[in-house]
Amino acid sequence: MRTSISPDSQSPNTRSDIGASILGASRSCESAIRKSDPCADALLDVTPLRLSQKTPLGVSLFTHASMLEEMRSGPFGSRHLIEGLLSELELRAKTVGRRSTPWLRWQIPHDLLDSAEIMELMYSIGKRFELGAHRANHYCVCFTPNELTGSRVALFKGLGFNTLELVYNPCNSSSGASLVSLSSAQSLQQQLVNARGIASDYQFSQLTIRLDHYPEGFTQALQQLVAENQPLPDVINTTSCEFQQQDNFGNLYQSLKYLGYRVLGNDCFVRPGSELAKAQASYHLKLTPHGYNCQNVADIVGLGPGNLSALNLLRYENSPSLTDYLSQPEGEIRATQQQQIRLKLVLDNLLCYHQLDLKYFRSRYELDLQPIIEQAWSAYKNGYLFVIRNHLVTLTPAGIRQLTPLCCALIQQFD
Amino acid sequence: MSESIATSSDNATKCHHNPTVSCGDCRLNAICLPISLHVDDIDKLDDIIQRGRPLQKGEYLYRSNEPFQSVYAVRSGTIKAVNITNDGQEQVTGFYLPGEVLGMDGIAQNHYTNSAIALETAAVCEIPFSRMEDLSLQLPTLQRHFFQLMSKEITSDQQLITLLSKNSADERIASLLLSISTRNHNRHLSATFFRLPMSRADIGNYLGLTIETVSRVLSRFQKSDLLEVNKKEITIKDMDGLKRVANMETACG
Repeated sequence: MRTSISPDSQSPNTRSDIGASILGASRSCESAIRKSDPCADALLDVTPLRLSQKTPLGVSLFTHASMLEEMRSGPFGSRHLIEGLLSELELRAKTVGRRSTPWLRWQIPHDLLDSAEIMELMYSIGKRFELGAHRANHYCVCFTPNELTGSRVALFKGLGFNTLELVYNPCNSSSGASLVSLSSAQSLQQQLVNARGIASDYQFSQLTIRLDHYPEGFTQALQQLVAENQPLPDVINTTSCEFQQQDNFGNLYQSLKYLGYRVLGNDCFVRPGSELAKAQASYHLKLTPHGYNCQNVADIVGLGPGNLSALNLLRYENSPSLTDYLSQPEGEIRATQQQQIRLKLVLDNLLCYHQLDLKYFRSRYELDLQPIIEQAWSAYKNGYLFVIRNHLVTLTPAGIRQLTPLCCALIQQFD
Repeated sequence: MSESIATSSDNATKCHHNPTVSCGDCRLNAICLPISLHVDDIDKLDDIIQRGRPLQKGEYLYRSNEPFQSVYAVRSGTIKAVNITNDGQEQVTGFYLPGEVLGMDGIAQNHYTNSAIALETAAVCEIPFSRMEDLSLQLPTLQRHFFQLMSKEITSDQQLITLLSKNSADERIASLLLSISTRNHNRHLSATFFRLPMSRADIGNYLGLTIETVSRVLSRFQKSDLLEVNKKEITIKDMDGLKRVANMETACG
């Protein structure tokens, strides 16, 4: 059950008032939760000034792939989008303060903004948050296969981005090429080889793939890369609802496992020896609404229409409509409820490590998980999807493939 | 900032060599920052610009790690940017001709990451960055043009790095000559006859080649009738041929 904290109830007159009232609302929310639940400390961390503490921050810039069409048919252009992003940036920066930012993600269609506008946005972000050129940072820029041009890649490399992500979505048809022709294994393989070549030319440290749509022949394309001794993508993220069907996930899981990938949760496949794989092995993963990271980032500022900011217990959801976003850049706010804090802790561990340490939850959070798990997973035989040995609940490979129903069953126990 | 550049207190809005120099009168205003401005707004830019005495050959405009305060537009002469590598070697990272803006590498980290040295007697216009930011709020076209310059500079730098890692010596030198040719053309100077303001050593350093290789390639180009070389003077005889050598889609600058 969600609780909305509307900035309208604070009767703000300026954007700074909205920011201040959000901060005030979040602080009173924190105080109430801290008093009632020891688990709250896990997420609230140290002091009532949590929002100004110096934990690392992530920044995401996003607009959906169809924004160009929306702009063409509506009254707003790229300048309006820039102004909206800058307004939201100023608002969020006042709330979170100037923090080290080792995680950055750019997913704005490249047709929307020119180089000067990209420069303006990055300059503004750099003024408000501490961007840096450390090797351990994860600064990712997304391209669809049709958008990959040397000059645009060069610009982002020069701006400090070190990860290039190739995105497959249903709107990948800006060049007029049909999805049918794009989805053939040969074309896909060529796209992956080209992307790897560009990433290598401009010395990006990682090439990752994001599947918002599952192109036909994808796993065959990967197999062909292996056959030709070409490097595979470092990370493959799946977001398409096609994967929510268990058969699809199971097939993909098996194929990628055969190619040597490890899985985080059930939607992120990583090469062994990659930074995310190492973080999983050493229990240093963080999970946010924007995915897994090993930069210890829990708070994310999500700029742009349709994006999501996660600042500890608070979530700010921006409207996907440009018109609504421009009139309300602060987004809709919701606070994580008490029960949800416990649930989040459990699910985060299960997704990150496919394992739950019963002893840890009992001693750290006074949460006895064993009866909850036994009740939630009573329909599943111990030893098939999961194994409880000593104080550890560990998912089997079959259990990882069934992660979605297992998590859903747990969620019901916490409601 | 180098002590050699006069500060704003030294009547710096007037050039010592030409007291009447202003952005409105400057022959470079079609390619420098004023390009973005309405003629009525050029005076506002002119008001914040400082023009000190010229730099002599070898003089520093600014040094690496000095606090970032200003960007600079080259009015005459040539400036080279250098970086000192971890093992103490000087690495040339760029050449700046009249009308071009340098110093932007200091913006992100609040200090200059490179040093800038005059290759010959040079005059620069100093633009205090905080004042330019303030002015940009009033003149959005100035801000946009500045961001265009920044993005172009960043893109060119990265494309050069790629060029150096991939291309042959012939391709690198041809690309550099074509870059200088284009930049001269933009200043309404000859694209086919010009003087190289930098030494063979600086060219080699910039392109990751030895002096001998630079000389050898230029001789080869001369023998192939692509160009004529007379010490520092270059005459391009076959522009299309030179572009073919450079594989124009990978040319930088």
